[in-house]
Amino acid sequence: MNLVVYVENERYREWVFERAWRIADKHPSRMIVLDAINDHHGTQITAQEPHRDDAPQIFREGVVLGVDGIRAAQRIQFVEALLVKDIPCVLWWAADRLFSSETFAGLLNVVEHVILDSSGTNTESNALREFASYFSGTQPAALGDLAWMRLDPWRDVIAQFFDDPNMRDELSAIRRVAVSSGSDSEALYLGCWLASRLGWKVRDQSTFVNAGGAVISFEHKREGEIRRVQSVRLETAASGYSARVEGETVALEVTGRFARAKRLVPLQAIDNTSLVERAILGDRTDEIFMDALHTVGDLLK
Amino acid sequence: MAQTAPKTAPSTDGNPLRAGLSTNRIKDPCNVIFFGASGDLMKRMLMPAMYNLRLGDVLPVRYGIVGFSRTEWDDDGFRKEMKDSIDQFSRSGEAKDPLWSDFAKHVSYVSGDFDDPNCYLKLRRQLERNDSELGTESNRLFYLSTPPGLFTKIVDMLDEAGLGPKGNQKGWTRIIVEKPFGIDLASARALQAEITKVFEEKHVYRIDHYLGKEPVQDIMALRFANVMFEPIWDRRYIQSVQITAAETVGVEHRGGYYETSGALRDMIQNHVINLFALVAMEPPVSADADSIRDEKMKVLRALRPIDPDQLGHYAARGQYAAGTVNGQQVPGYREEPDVNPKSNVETYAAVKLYVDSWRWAGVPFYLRSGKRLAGKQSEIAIRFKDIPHRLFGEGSDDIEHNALVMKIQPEEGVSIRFSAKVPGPKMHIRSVSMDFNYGTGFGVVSAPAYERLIGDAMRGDATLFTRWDAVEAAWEAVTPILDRWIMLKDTSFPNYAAGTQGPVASDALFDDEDDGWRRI
Repeated sequence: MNLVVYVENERYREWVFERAWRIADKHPSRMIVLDAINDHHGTQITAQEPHRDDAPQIFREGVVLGVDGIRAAQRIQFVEALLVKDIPCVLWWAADRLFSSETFAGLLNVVEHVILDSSGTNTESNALREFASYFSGTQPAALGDLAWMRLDPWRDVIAQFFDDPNMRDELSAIRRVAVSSGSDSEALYLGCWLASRLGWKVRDQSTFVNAGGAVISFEHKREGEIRRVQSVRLETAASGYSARVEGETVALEVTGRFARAKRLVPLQAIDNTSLVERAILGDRTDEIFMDALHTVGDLLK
Repeated sequence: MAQTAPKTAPSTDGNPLRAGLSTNRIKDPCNVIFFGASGDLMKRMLMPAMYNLRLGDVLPVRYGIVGFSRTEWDDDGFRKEMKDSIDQFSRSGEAKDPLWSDFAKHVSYVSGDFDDPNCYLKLRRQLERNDSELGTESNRLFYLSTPPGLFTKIVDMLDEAGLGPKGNQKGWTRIIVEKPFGIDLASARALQAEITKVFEEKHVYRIDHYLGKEPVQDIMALRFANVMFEPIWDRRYIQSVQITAAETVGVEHRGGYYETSGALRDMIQNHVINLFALVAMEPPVSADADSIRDEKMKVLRALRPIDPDQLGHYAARGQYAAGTVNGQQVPGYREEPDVNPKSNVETYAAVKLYVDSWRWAGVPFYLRSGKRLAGKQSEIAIRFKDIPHRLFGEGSDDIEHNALVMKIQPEEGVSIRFSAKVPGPKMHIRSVSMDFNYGTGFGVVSAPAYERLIGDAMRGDATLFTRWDAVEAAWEAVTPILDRWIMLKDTSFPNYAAGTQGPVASDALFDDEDDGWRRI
C-alpha cells in the first residue's frame, strides 16, 4: 500500500513516526511522510529489506519530505508523483487542523482511506465539528477516527448490561448518561453512540430527547489520561449501571432494582499501532460510526 | 468514491447496542469439568486456555471450572498449581490480580479415584454448589483428558452418579473426548458403544486440536470463498496432493504411550486424515456443523481400500536413529526413556490414498507424518498438472509445476507458485512465489486451538469436532496398514537418522518420477 503520513506538530512527530514505521514493517508499503513542522526541509529516503532469512518477504520504503513553507498544491503534486500506482492509498493525518488545511482537502482527492485521531488534540471539539460537518455529505474517501475505534471495548461493556432480554426495557428508561475521560472525543462519541442507537434526538449540548419525549441528561468531564475513558454511568429510575477503570480491569456494577454483584472484565486497551492497522485493513466505513458522528455534529452545532 | 458497508442489521439478539460490535462471548452459563486435571495437558494447554478465554472476556458471565483427578489437592492447592501453570505456559504471561483472584473464585477441585462412586457424588455436590453459588444453571461440559483407558469408566460413573444427560434435566450435558479415540477399529467401536449408552452423538465432542488451528479453518475459506480455486480443484488440473505433519521433536516423555501408538495412529489416523478430508470434500450446502461433516464423511467413504498385498505401493514406515536436530545431538527412538530397545513402533508413516470419485479419480494424495525430521512443518501442497504445451521452447525448460501450499505451522499462510518471465531480452521463464502470511495479512496472532475448541464446545458448535462416522471411516482406512505392520516387523529399523527427511523407503510411494516429497 501507499501510506501517506502528514505531521505538523513537533510534539507528535516521533510518536507518529515510530508507529508508522511499525506498520510499514508489517505491511509491504511505500510510506510518504509530509513533515510540515517549522523549519523541516529536505528529503530523506530509506529502504529496508527483510533482516532475517526466515522472515516473510516484506519490503518497505519511505520518503520523508520536509514541506514547511511549500504550498499545498505542490505538496499534493509531490505525493502524486511518489505514489505506487494501482495499490491502496491510505492517509494518516496526524495534525490538529483538518479542513482549514488545504493540504488535507487536496489529499482527500488522492487517497481512498483517511485515518485520523480527533482525540488528544488542542481543538478536539472544533475538529469533531468540522469532521462531522464535512463527512455528513458525499464522502470522497473512507474514514476512520482512532478516537472512535478505541471505544470498541467500552461499547461492549455497556452493551453487556442489556444483553439479557429482561433488561431491554431499561434502555428506554435511561435518563442520565455520564462519561469521564481524559479527552472530549471519547466522551462525545460514547454519548452520541448511545443516542444514535437508542433513537434519541439532540435537544441541546447537554441533553437528548427519546422517542417518548423524555429528556436524558448527558454529562462529560475530563478525568485521567488523554485518549482514555475512565468511567461511564447510565441511570434509569430503577437502577444505576456503571463501568469504571480499576487498574487493568473495568469494574461493572449494577445498583438499585436490578442490582448485580460487581464484576471485573479485562480492560481491552488497544494500542495505537494496532488501531491504525485495523483502520487500514478495514476498508469500509463503519455505519454505526457515521451515525454516532452525525449525532456528535448535531450536538456541537 | 469510498464504499459504504452494508447497513448493519439490527442485532440478532435484540440488543440495539450490539449492532456493529463483534462479540465472541459465550452466552450459556456453565461448568467445565476436567478429568485428568493434574495431567500435563491440563497444565500446558487446558487451564491456560480457560484463563485466556477469561482474559478475552469470552467466558460467560456465570461459569465454574472443576478439576477432577487422583492427586490429593484441596481447592486452594489446585488453584495454586493452576496459577503456576498459567504463569509458565499461558500466551498472556503471568496471571495477575485482581483478575486472577476473580477467576480463582470460579475454580474448584475434586480429588478421587476415577472408579470410586463416592468421588462422583462429591463432584455432583460441587456442581450443585456451583449452580447455586455461581449461577451455572446445571449446564455441564465434561472434558476427558485422562489416559484413554479410563474414558469408558468415567462415562459409566458419570451416568451412575446422575451426572449424565439423563440425570440432568435442568440444563445441557456435553462431553469432550481427547484423542486417541480407540487404538484400532475394534476398540474405537467399543468405546463409541459405551459412550453412546450415556451420551447421544450430538453431545459428544471428539477433539482434534489440529482442526482448531486458524489455517486449517481457512482451508474451507480458501476453497469456498474464492471463485478462482474451486474450478480447478479436481483431477483435470491437479496432479497430486501432499499433506505433511513433520516434527523435530522426538517422543520426549511420552515413550510409554508412543510404544502403544506410533505415527500412523498418533497422527495420520486423526490429524492428517482430517486435513485430507477438508481438502478433498465436496462443497457443503451450508456452513453448519452437520453439512460440513456430511461432506467430510462422503469423501472418507470414497477412499479406495488399500490392498494389504500391495502395501509397499501405498504405505511406508520409519523409525529414527540418533542424529542431529537443530545442531543438537539427539538419541534414537530405541534409546528414549520407556521405549523397548528392540521396538518396532514407527515414528514416521507415509500413506498414499486414492479417492474413487468423479472429482478425484486418479489423483494420489500423499500423507506423511514423522518425528525427529529436518524441520517442524505442517502443510498441504497442491501440485498442479504440467502445462499442455511449451510455447516458449528452451525458455520454458525451467518451468515448474504450479503449486498452492497452505501452511499450517509454524508459518501460517498460503503460498502460490507460478511462472513468470525473467526480465531481459530473451523469453526465459522461471517459477516465482506469491505469499500470504496470516500475521502480516490480518495483523493479529491466532489464538491457540484449544481456546477456540473449548469455547466452541461451550457454545454447542460441533463444526470443528470429529463425528463418529468420520472417526470410524478413518480407522477403516488405516486398519489394513496397521494390521500388516503389526504382523510384519520392519527389520530395517531404525531407518532414518534424526534431523533428516525421513526414510528413503517412502520415496517409493510416488508413481510419477517427476513427483516426490517436498523438502521439509
